[in-house]
Amino acid sequence: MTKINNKDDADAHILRLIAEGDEQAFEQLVHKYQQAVFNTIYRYTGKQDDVQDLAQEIFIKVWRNARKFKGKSKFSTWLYRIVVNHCINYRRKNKRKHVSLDELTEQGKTPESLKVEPDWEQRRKVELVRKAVDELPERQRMAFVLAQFEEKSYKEIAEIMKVSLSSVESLIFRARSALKSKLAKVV
Amino acid sequence: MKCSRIKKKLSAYLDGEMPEQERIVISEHLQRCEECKAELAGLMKVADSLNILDGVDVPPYFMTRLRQYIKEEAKPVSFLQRIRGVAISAATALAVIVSLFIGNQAGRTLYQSIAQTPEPAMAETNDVFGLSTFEEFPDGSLSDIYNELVTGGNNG
Repeated sequence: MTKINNKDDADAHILRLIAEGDEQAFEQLVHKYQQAVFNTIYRYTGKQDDVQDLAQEIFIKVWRNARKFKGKSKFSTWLYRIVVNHCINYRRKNKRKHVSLDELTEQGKTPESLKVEPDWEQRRKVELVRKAVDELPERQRMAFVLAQFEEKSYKEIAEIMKVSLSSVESLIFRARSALKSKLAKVV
Repeated sequence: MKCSRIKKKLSAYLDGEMPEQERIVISEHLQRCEECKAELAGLMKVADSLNILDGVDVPPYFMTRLRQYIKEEAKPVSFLQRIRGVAISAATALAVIVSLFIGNQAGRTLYQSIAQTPEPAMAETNDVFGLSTFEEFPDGSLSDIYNELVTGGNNG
């Protein structure tokens, strides 16, 4: 079990207030974690349009289930677990046709109209990197996003994803190796 | 440690996710192995390239939307709204029970009425092949004369 510190105690206290229906405590919690939740959703799903709706659904789940938080793990672990499950379900429901990275990197795929814009090269690069992350298998992508962008420790990622520490290490290693070969042409 | 094993550990090494002793072993290996050093440089380059992926800003009205939803949900529920669900369930259960009762009664009545009514087809058959076939023939009828001839007039 993760060692609980003062910051986690404060979160647990806020959550107890939320369980009693304290709306101000809820707002305090949302303000604290909303940016992290938005970023994780966006980096995992790669879809900006749906981020707000997903974040809203996640915080509503927190509001409704605050009573179920027993304080056995850190609040952030509990919250990220909700985020992970929600994002995975979303991706499964919205399986879209992928344009492969190879297709995107073809010269012909960049419209001439885009090339005249001053930052088109940078935008293209961002799109290619995003696509490479998007093409990672589900669990690899989630472990990688949590480690790379949210700077979660392997131990916390293991708790969030309910897998072993060695699995997390392996998932992140495989994600990095895949990205290295996918982005060889780009970076 | 072999290079293949070192390479698998480089990702965790980059994240600072390994025991100190193992870290020292890998650091020493990297000082003398160009291949593994190049592999690490490649991973670091990928990590750097990912920094171009920005996050996304939280819209200013996000909290307002959320607050509105929570307030809606937190509204006290009226007595009628509270019992509505129970009332619907009870009405459904009652409807099922009444339907079963009516069905049962109707079935029983129908069965009894069928049992009391003689079957018309059977009555008709009795007329043709039943006992009436052997009743006495009217005096002087062709059947009576034939019967007397056959039985020699000993018939009753």
